[in-house]
Amino acid sequence: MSSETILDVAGLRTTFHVKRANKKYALKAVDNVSFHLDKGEILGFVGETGCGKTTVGRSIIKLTKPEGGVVTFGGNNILNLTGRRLREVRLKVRMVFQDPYASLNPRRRIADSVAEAGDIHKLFNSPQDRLKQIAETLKRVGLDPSFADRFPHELSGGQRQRVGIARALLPIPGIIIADEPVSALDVSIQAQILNLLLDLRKRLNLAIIFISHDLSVVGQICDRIAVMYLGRVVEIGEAEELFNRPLHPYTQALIHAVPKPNPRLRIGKGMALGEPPSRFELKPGCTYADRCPLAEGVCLTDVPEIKTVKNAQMAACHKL
Amino acid sequence: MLSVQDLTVSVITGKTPLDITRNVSFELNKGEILGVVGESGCGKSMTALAIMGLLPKTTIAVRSGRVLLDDQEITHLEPHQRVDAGLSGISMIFQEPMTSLNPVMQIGDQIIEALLVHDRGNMRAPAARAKKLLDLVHIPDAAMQLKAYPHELSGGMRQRVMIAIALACNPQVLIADEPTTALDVTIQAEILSLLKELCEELSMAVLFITHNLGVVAQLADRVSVMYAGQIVETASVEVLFEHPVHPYTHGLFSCLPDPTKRSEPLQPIPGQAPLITEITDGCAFAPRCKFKTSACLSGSIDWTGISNGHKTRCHHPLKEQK
Repeated sequence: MSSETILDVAGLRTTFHVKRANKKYALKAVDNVSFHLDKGEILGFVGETGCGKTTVGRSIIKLTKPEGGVVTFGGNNILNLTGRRLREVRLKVRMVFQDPYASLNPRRRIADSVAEAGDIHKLFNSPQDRLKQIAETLKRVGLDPSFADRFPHELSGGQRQRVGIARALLPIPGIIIADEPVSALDVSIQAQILNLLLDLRKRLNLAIIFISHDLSVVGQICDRIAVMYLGRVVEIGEAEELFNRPLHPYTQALIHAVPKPNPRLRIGKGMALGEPPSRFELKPGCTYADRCPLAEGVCLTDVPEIKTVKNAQMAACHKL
Repeated sequence: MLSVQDLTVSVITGKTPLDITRNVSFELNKGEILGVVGESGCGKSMTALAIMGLLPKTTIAVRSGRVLLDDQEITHLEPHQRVDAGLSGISMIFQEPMTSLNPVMQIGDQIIEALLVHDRGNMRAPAARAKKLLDLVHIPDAAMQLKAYPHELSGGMRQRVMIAIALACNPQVLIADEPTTALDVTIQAEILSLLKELCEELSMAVLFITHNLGVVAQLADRVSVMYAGQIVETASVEVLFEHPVHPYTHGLFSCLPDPTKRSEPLQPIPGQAPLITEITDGCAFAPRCKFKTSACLSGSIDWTGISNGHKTRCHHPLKEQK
């Protein structure tokens, strides 16, 4: 762990116990995930629906209770904290959610939503100080301080997501966990929010965990990317390397399937991957074996461990 | 085959009608895929519903303009009138297949339901035809899957079932409204290649509505870009992506994330799209446009031809290459 590391996650496991058709299943949403996050770094998590990327984000600050693992932040294991000390950590590791329509209380003014964390933790010296901090935070995300008195329904989607970010920035945290922060927005607005996140990272030296299903967005703004498949990180590395020279067959297929905005680069036929297998009853061996063109022998029996393949790029595949 | 002429769809509940789409015109030829791109609220779905005759009529209706299928006007025909007149050659699929399918009905029966509507109930062996349709959209074990309920299928399979139902009437035109938006990229790629294949095999025309420029580039032959209820630029897919001339189209491209150009910052379009209540005279994009002049602020903006098949509603089309 280098001195620049702000968050270190080792062996994180989160299991959901679900009942389907009178049968109990232990669904491993996050299975043995390890990574570290440096100060001022943007780390992206990508993968398809249900791969566990959101659960990773939520497990880090115990919004979903993990079953095992160690999350080191500020010298403590977050997973061992409870009560007041856990709430203090959550003041420094903040979440931004996908849908700014659903994550803002429609009956509260913007000021009250933005100041909520400060109110709970009694961070304001006086009502004047409270107003001042709200105004400063709104300015920081590119909103006029007059928005403080408005209600969420008076704002557009992009403005609401700015409020969502403002709420996470009061007080200034060390880490933001942004769960699909631009998925509900139109492209022209999406670009505004992405630029805002990049700008905040630069000005406040924020570390950001950026969770998204959109590979182009992740490839554009993240420094490093972790690709998840059925609860496991199958590849992690520098964004540029990972995008240009993906190692894991799943990463390759995923990047290939992204529709490129160029009619001369059309995806040919014959790349059919098929459907992902059931998450309830996983077979032994590599979880990707069912869809993998390279799978054979050992892939069907042993789970591949994630290992360094070249430089800083790690992948979990027997064939590498 | 399908011709839409000056279609204006309006909310008619207030004192003055509010236009959701304004003078939308396009032609769709046999076997052609036309992509309609635009952001939320630009009127792309309303155009589709108007063509299908599915507008609520008492609140939102076609105020002017015409929809012609094979030179016959269908603008104001109710869906059942279209079936009676033998003009039911347009089908539609929607974004979220789970909300379009009946959750308590087997998918086989849902396909047969569509077959019976169009064949007036005197059809032989409907189950066999339903199975054929499932084969056509590449659903494995079609005979068994006829008995499945929608919740037993994955998102991609449900969208295939929707396409099978849409194909039950042997449509000449298929309208696909964001059919892959709810799907993962790997599944999206499969549905896109299925649509392309069906379009060729059945020489069916497709009107493909999406907000995703990547998807349009992959699939469409021609593209129309919509902004605030109007088509602002139309061209073949190659020309539009190489040489967009409307400042809005150009702006859409510059704010697309591109992992191969990480060093270049994204250039968002400033401001946001106007609400239908805010649209004034002149070009609707003018408030966000850096090329606007006084001429852009009044009157209606007519088409400017750029090259064969490429036209734009703009007084100052861009000259330089993207």
